[in-house]
Amino acid sequence: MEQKEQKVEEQMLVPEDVYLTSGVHIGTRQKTAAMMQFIYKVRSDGLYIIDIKKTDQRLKYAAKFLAKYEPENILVVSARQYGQKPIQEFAKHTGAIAIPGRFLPGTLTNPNVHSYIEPDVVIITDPLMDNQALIEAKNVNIPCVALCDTNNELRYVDIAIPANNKGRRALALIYWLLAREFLKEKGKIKEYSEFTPKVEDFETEL
Amino acid sequence: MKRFIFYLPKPLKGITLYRFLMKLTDRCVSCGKGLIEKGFVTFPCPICSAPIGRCVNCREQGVEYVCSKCGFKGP
Repeated sequence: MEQKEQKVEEQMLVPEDVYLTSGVHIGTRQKTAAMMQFIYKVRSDGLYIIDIKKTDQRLKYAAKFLAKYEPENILVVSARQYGQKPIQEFAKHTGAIAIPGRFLPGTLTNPNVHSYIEPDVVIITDPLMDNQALIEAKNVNIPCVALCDTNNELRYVDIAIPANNKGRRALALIYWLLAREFLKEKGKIKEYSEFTPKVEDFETEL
Repeated sequence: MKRFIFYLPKPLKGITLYRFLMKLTDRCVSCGKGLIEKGFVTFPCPICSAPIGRCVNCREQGVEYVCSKCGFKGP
């Protein structure tokens, strides 16, 4: 029984080829000490490669963690252009709140701002680009889930998902997987086949 | 807190009062510091739902935390 359970745990959310073709594993030419644990190797051209198994495992953990909260209390932020469509689709399918583009300062801290909200957890696409959201989440004591590339620090991040947060297809695949896994953990879908949207629907159009 | 001090056998002052206050609160799982300062966070463990507390300093430095129940390592 234990071996069976281990095998189930070892199964990846999607085949490894899908991750590789989407470029989820491709990092940057910079690395940080905090992200060393997620780096698999260095390519001959100097690019650091992210360990896909750890990405997959972290996605499962992140989905489990998010499933403990109500979807309307989850905030998804992306200042990156390639992350805006994926977060909108994620919010559409899960019921979360999405803030694509500029994050208005005071959204989490100033009740006088018209867009003021009080979420319970924040998902951040890039800790460098979405620094304002990260700092405000810290000020109001909200846990942060973040997609971290090899050049990101883990400052104020509580659960990191190591992945390429710059690629168009990589971001689409990650948010698609996160949405699917979140709905499964919530019990809204029983099998993966019930999740009808495709990865292409999450991709930003060129 | 005044009510607490009033019902105690003797009034607490200085570091004794600070330690008493610390016992009332949660602690950081990495460094054991009381979660009083602004910027701390408490959240359920992704695997076993046990409460995890992190203080602002450990969050700022990205210090690794381990769930005491299931051994989940973060961030």
